[in-house]
Amino acid sequence: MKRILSAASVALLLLPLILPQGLTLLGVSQGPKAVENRLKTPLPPLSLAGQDFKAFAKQLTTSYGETFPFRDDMIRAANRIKLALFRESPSKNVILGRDGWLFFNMESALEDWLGVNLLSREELDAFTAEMKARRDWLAARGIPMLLVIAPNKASVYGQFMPPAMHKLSPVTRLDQLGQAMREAGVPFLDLRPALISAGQVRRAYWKTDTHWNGWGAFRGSAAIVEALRARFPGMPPLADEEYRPLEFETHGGDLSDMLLLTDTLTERDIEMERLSPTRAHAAGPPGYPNPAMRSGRDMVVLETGDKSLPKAVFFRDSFSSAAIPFLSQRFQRSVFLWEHTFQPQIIEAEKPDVVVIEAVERYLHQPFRPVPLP
Amino acid sequence: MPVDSPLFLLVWLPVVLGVFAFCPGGLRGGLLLAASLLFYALSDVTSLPLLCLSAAGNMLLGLAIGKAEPGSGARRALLAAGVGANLLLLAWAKYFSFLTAQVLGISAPAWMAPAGMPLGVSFFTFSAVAYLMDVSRGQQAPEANPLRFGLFMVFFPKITAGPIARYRDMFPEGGWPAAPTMEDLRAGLARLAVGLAKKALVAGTLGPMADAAFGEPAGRLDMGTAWLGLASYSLQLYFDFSGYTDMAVGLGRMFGYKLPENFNYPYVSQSVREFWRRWHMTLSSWFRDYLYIPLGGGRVAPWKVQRNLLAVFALCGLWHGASWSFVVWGLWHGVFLALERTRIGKALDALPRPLRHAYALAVVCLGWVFFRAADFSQALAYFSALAGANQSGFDYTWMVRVNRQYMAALAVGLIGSAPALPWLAARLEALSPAVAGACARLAAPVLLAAALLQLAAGTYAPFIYAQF
Repeated sequence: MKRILSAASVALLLLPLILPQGLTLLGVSQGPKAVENRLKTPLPPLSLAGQDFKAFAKQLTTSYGETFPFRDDMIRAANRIKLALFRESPSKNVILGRDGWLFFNMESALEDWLGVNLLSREELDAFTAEMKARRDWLAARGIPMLLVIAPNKASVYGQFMPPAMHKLSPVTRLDQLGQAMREAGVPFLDLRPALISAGQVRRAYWKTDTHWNGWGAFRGSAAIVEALRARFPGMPPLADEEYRPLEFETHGGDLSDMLLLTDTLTERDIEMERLSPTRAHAAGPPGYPNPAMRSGRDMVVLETGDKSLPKAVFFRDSFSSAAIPFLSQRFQRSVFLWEHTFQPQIIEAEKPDVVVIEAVERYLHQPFRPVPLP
Repeated sequence: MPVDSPLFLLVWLPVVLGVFAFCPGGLRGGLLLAASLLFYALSDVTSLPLLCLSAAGNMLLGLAIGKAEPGSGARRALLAAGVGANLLLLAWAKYFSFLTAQVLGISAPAWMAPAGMPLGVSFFTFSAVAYLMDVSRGQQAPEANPLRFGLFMVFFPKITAGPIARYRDMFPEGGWPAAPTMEDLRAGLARLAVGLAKKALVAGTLGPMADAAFGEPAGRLDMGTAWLGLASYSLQLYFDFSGYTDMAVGLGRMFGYKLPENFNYPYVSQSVREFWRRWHMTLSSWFRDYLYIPLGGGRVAPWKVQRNLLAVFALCGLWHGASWSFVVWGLWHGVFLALERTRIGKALDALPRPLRHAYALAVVCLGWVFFRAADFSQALAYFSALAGANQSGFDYTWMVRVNRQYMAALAVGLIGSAPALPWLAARLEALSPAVAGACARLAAPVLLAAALLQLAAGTYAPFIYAQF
């Protein structure tokens, strides 16, 4: 009996060790693969062992650790267990707030909300000098400029942050930046009031994603158009009546994807459907290369053909992706560059009527990267 | 290839266990030696020739010492040459830059420096020195079988971070040990599971808090974070290192080898003296047997005992790493050990038991500041934070770094660092042996599965002690 018990215990103990590789050898298929923000190390070729065994061993260990069978299913299982057990986010990169709201905890997004990463006087002075130089360089060419900051989700929906969390400072980086830009005479648009107001009508951000939803993107676009109308009064406002909201169940957004729980943490998305056919259509490729530093960040060039409207160049990040369908309706030609670094040569080539620089709050420092102006 | 890596746990170990199970008894020693050499090559192939040279050299030295007349000058000379060669190897491999730049103040040519610290050099060198001294003292017969001696030196469960096994630990009868039984396999796997769980679930969860506290710039670290960071690091270090030892002992047992224990609930000690009888026991017993006692032990004049304690613990500190911080950490312990041999020690012994625990814990945990800090100045800044130089900032730590998973790991760490579980198991056994048996048998697979899931989630850190 003791021997049988020992054998059964051994079998139970060996199972976790041999199952992942064993099931693969038996041809059992794995669950959906995780999308990771990196390229996985490939298994090294055997020939490398003869040439450089140290490199072979290192690559073998790393590669297997990143790709071993059922790894992603195991991470998914671990996250489900932790979520059920602790009722908190299983990843340090994501915060589980109230009522199923997820918040990003990377790239200083949390520190932005807490107000613990304030800018120094030197940083603010450098930012101001850089943006004033850019404004003046554009003004010399008759081009106005608008700097737009889209708020982090927590800046609009802070009431859904975990109960144990509270702001540590009444001032944030965005407050500091707004004041500095306004004092320097740099046209500046803080989208927080527009998004807070939008949220009073219906939800303006995804619960399971870092971004605004269709409604938030629409109201953000409307605020940008409204700010530009001071300079271009012929530009019609973006009116609520042109669109109707559509709500539908979908899988979770990027934050639930980071937890590998897109099927568990699902979402009720809100999109805005245009009531009349779109006026903006894709234009031919411009005569300059895409300045985006990362692959997959395509340039978007749209034209309405309406010569009464201005031409625009947008420097932007992922927040503008959902805004492009709305913004493009209000320009004769709109060029959306998925890049924050200023590109004077593209301005010279496009000769736009206006330049808009958009950044989400957590990237608010990105547009200030110094660029020599010709 | 760390022993907590998926490659080791999911491929290497099952394959070696499988081949071992079907291997004829006479070939098993050779198989384990080959597997150990492959394991070392996969971890640090550059140092493999050095390890083989050390193994071959020490075996020949052991044979030569064994042949020399006991007590003769030849035996003493051979022993001195052997110990000297091992210590020179260790000094060159681990302390070259420290000795040349910081002690001697010279800049040595680059070609003289080692390419990198060989994996496990501190452990296999100390094992070899212990073997030579035991042979010289007549406590150990010299080993003439190169397979057995090779396995003693390079056995894969212990090569990375110990325990520092003596020859008689692995081969108590002289020859090959008996084949492992099913119970050995079960107990070994269960021990592996416990070790991996300690490492992945407790140490890995507490580590980020310690990293955050010790990574905070001087002046910005607040008192609350400093204390929480120190508590986290104290538990992380214990669960990481004792978890590794559990895995090593378990792996050894699966293949029929009994490796020595290294920990016995050190944080329940009531004195620094007792702490060193419970913490890294194979290292402290090495220093006791091969340095402290030969220097006279406790039988010489009191001032000499205290001098010897300081010298032994300065070296013990240096063994952990080539920096003055480790020397200071060793001296910190040496000073308290010396004090415990004075009237102060008697006064401490007379204190109520909770105060004795508090004293030992305070000395040990505060000592970890020197151990963990990047350098001496950071250690001083950390002490300043512990003393309350900066009171604001804990709000951020509490909101951002403390979560339920961390609190659970902290609670498990605090409970698990005392012998609470064995006490509970004994009570349960007394109440219902069947239930106790079932719990014990089910707990290990659950722990193993949970630890593997945690490893898969990628939230583990390398073994802290692998760097020593």
